[in-house]
This record gives sequence, structure tokens and C-alpha cells, in this order.
Amino acid sequence: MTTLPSSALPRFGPTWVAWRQHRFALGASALMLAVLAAGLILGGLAVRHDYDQRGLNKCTSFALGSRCDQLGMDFSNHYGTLNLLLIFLLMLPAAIGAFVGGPLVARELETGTFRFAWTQGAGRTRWLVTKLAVLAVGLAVVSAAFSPAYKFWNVPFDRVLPDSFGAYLPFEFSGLAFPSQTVLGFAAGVFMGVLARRVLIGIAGSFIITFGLSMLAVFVLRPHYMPARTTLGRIGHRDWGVDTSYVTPSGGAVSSAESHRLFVRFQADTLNRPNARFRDWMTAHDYRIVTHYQPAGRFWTFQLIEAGWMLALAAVLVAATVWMVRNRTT
Amino acid sequence: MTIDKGPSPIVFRLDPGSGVPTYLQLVQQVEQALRLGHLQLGDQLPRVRDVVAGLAINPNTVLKAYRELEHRGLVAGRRGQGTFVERTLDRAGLREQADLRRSLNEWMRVAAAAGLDDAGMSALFTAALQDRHKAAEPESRDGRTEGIA
Amino acid sequence: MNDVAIEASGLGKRYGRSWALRDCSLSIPSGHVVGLVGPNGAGKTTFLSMAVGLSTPTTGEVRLLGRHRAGSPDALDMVAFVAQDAALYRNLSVTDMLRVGRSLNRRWDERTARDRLAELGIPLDRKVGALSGGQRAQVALSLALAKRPGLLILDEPLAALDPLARHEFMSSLMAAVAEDGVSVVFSSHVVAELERVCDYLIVLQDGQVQVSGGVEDLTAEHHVLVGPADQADEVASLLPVVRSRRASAQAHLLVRTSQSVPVPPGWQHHPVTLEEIVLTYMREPAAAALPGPQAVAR
Repeated sequence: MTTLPSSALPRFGPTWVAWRQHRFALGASALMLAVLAAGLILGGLAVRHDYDQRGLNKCTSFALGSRCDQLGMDFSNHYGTLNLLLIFLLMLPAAIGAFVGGPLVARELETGTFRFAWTQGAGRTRWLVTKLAVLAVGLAVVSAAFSPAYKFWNVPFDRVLPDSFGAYLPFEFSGLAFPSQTVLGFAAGVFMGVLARRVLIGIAGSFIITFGLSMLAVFVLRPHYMPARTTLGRIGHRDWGVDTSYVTPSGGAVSSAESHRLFVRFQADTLNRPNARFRDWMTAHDYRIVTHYQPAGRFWTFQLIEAGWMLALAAVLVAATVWMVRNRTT
Repeated sequence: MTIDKGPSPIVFRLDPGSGVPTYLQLVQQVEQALRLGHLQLGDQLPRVRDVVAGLAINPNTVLKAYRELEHRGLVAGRRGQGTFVERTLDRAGLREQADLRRSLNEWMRVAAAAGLDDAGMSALFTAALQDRHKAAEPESRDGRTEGIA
Repeated sequence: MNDVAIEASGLGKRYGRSWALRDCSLSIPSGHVVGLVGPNGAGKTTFLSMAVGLSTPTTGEVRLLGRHRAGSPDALDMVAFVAQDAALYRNLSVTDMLRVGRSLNRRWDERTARDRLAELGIPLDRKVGALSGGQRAQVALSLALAKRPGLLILDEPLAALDPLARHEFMSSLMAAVAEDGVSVVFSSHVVAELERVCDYLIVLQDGQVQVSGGVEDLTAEHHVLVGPADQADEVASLLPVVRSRRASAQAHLLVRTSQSVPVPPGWQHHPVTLEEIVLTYMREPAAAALPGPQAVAR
């Protein structure tokens, strides 16, 4: 290792620095997801064994009322709570993004090491952009690698009771959604850390923002990425029912206000029948049910739309972060 | 014991409380070393780098001292090699030193009898030395006059 | 080599409503070891931060080694900075820190840096956080010098060091100046040992430059006259007095003049140490010793 009289920056110099500084954060995220994935795979093997034990592997169809249908229901209910636990995964992108992104720059601001980093020849922009790129790519890869493990786990459940394409878990983990959210969470983490110049505020603030955005995506935005189709009939297993409305006996639409009034009447009528369903009551009164749904073929379109806006938002946050680092004096 | 690894036979020290400018201290130490024979003709003076590393002083100070010694004709710099002794000081022999010591003792006896204490004797001698030095100077460095303590 | 290490014109920095540095115009020559002194809060760190491009000026501008704008890529290449408390990544080993430096700079002398660290007995595989304060400071200095900078700027490098570590740090720094000819600007709020090391001095007080000049010039220009108190006013009217101290019988006048000082009869003249000069100006905020229009040929 001798003197370099050259006047060029080592090509992957800043990349090495980013890796060396943050390999623990990346490694920890990878490890955590690897552990979860291993759990899903091992658990998946156990579930498959149970599936075979129950004789479900011999079922070819799960027609309503058949014995296979009953077996399938038992099977699904048995693992019902376990699948519910996976909902906590909703918090993962926010958590990963907060803990990896929050301290990225904020820690240097807090400990004063930015005074070293930003006075080296590479300059602060190259330093920052390289860090962001290395970690964003790393996190995207690590979170995308989680997907096969989930799919492996889900196969038996999906065979017994097929999910609509918009169900939370499959949509989240069979496509681009989880990596996109993680990258967005990371961008939010770095942004908040630089904005507040404090690690803890960066972590807490970005967790709240990303979690909020995830919730917004899942519950509010997802069902409406494209205008829903309507039908008076049934929808397929994979189609995603997103709304229900009613049509009067004469053929006119029922407004939501009117629908609410009808619901109140239904409740009054069925006080002593707790299992009564509103749909059945409406049908009995000659109202017809209109199902709004997203057809199954739209899965990838929706994935791309969601990834699109999330990554666009991440890009905006990154641009704002770079601007702040360049211009907001310390 | 730390052994200085440089090429010079002598090593410098500083007396920060003496009031004597640093560069002058270095000059005096070289002259003293010449007098005592620690430095001989052709010997190399400590390298600037070694001096500043040992004493934590500005390199320009050392350069100034070496320039002064060069001005006094005692040393000469050789480009790329260092600074070397060109001329020794006239050294009083042991015999002369003993004689000088005796007359100095006599002088001190007379001065003490006249009422001078140690500090007074030292001040008188220092002033006379400075006057002698000034009288020997070819040009005055600045027009400053010194107050007489 | 450029003649001017740091050129500040009308430089100012405001935080909120207060000015940390105001109207600072300096021309710091290169080839010197420059001491920047002043009490805490005087604006030393503010000035140095702007010089190395860590903060942007509110008014004015600062250029380094000729014409390079502070914080520009050229300036980042040619100027090295050692921050207060030797900002380093504590969880990295010394070897890793060397690699970080090599990875982020265009010019890098790994060999010399390693030699220096070996000479100082600093283990390369130890984590920076496990080193002593003095060792950390030496590592920071080695990293800075490995860039082969034309100008080295240090913010209070001795503040957290014990006396031995201070001496060793200064020795290393002076040796580097002797070997590489690098210009040095360092700030300090300790005045005592500046005279041995600095040959140019700047005093900042309250965000403004109070003193700026070569150490030899400053010590040659300042004199202390001690004499009878009743003649003090008369003598003071003849010479620019920076500070006067009077007792009932005696007065001390610290004067500044580049001409020869005639010593009135009955008065004594004393030369002044740099420390005394600095302390005096720090006690007299209204006084200033700045280079006149005839100083510093461009």
C-alpha cells in the first residue's frame, strides 16, 4: 500500500465506506428476515405434514358442503390465529426503515463525525448518495428475498381457501409491496433523522410516518387503484371484492344514506335473531346486491401502481434529504 | 535513558523561563558545544525535523538559529544534507580557564566588599556583556534602545 | 505555493439574532504556523467551520490557498481538518480508519501514515474508541497529513489532552511542518505555549478580529514602559497605549509602535512576551493590532 499520486477518487471508495459503517444494520435486518423466513419454511413443512395427515392431499375440489370442504374449514381454523400473527409484519417496513435509516446521518450529526466525513475529498453529496444507494439496494434485496418463504408457507392455506388477490398477506408478500414499503421506510428514516438532527426523533418520527403510510396504503388506497367493476352475480375466488352496494327492486341505486336507513330497520327487525345477515334480509326484501370488485388479473398492475407511488415518494424524500445535507448548515 | 537517533553529536534543550528567545538559546547551545568540544569541525547540527520533534517548536525558529550561526561564520548549510560546523570557537585552554577563574574570584571579592549581592553582580556583568556585544555589532538591528535596569 | 493560506473578506455568521462572527477580513499567509486564539465563544470554531466548508457564511466569503472556495472539491482535496475531540468513528479500528481516508480522498499517502503511527507505537488493529485521548489525536493528525494537504486546520487540538500528550502532538505537528512544509492554522484558548510554536497570531474577541500579525512583528512592536505614575499621562500622550496599569507610585504602559521607542529618563523598557500581548488585548476589547495598508504585499 504505497502512495497514490493519482488525482482520482478510488472507484468504489465511498461504497466501501458505506458498507463498512452500516454492515451491521444491513446484516441485522437480513438476519431478522432470515430468521422469520426460516420460521416460515420450517413451519411450512410442519403445516404440509399436517395437511397430508388430515387427508387434504387427497382432495381435488372443495365444493360447498363436501367432506373436503369441512376438512378444509377445520384446517383453516386451526391455523387461523397463527396467520393473524403475521399481521404484525405490517410494522416491519416501518421498523426496518426507522432503525436503519434514522441513525444513518443523524448519528454522525450527533457524535460530530460528520466533521470528519464532510471534510474528506469526496465531499458530502457523494458520501450521502452512496450510503443511500448501498442501503436502499441492500434493503430492497433482503426484503424481496423474504417473498419466496412466505409463498412456500401459504401454499396449503391457499389451496384450501383461496385468497383474493388483494388480501393483506398475499398482496404484501407475493410481489413488490413489501420491498417498496421497506425502501420508503428507509428514505423516511434518513429524512427524519436529518431534519431533526437527532437519532431518536429520526427513528420515532419515521416509524410513525411509514407505519401511517403503510396503513393508508393497505386499508384506504389499495382497493381503489383502479375503478372497480360491478356485478350482480358472484365473483371468482381470486377476484377482490372491495365494496357492496344495493339496487332497489325497481332497478335504481341505493345511496349510502338510504342504505344506512335500511340497516337501522334491519337491526330493529332482527333484534332476536343475532345470526341474521343484512345481505339476506335485503335479498328477502327484493333488493339486489351489487358487488364492486377488482378482477384477479389486476394483481401485477396494482403492485406496480403501489410500488410506483411509494418509490416516487421515497425519491422525493431522498431529494429533500440531499438538499438539506448540502444546504442546511450545521 | 532515551538515545537520540539523529546524526548529530549534540541535542538541544529549552529553558522556557529564562526570557531568552528560543532561537538565541539554540545559538548559545551550539556555541557552548563548540567551546566544550562536543561539536567538532565537520560535525552535523541536529536536523531541523529532529529538533522540532523533540522540542515542539516552530521549524522557522530553528532555521533562524542556524541562519544566525551561519551569519557568525560558525556553520554552513549543505543543500539536501544538513548544516555542518565550519569553524570552531577559540577555546580557552584548561590553563587559561584556571587563570580566568582566579581573577573572577578576585573580582567577586571586591564586588561583595563594595556591597553588591549575587543578583547585583550578575546584573552588572550581564549589562557589561551586552554593551560589549553591541559595540561589536557591525550594524544595529533596529533603533531600539534598552533601558538600563 | 500560494502566498495566502486563508483569505476572508467581510466574513460573518449569524445564528438566529446573534452574530458569532462579524465583518471578518483576514489574509493569513501560507508557510506559517498560525495560532487563532480567543476566549470561548469568540468565534474561533465558527471561523474555522466556514474555512473548511462545514458551514456557509451569512455574509462575505472565504477562500483557501489562493482562489479555492471553501468547501469546493479542490479545497476539500488540498485542505485537511482535524475537528475538536478528533472526530473519528470510535467503533472502527485504526486500519479501517486509514482505509476510510484512502477511500474518500484523491491523494493518499498510506505508507507515511503507517510509519508515523508505528513510530508513535499506536496499534493498528485497535478500535479507535479504545485508544487514549492522545493516541486518538495522533491518529486524527496522521489521517489529515496522509491527504498531503497544503493547509492543515485544527480546531482546539490540545483541549482534551494531558500535558505529555500535548507535547507529543505538537512535536508531531512541528515535525510534519518541517518535513512537508504544510501551512498550519490551529485554534486554542490556551495562550501559554503559543510562542514556541506559532509564527503568526490572530486574536478573536466577541466575533471580531482584534489582533492579526506575525509573531516577530508583534513582539517587536509592543513594549512595556515602567515609570513614575505622575508622568504616565505625559508619556501616554506620545505613544499609542494599549493598556495602562497604575498604582500610586508606578505605572506600567503597554504601547504599540513600529518605530524605535525613546525611553524617557527615569523609565524602564521591557520587551513583551507573546502571552502578555495576547492577554492584554483580551483584557482590552476596544484595542486592536491589525496590519495596516502597507503590510502583506500581495
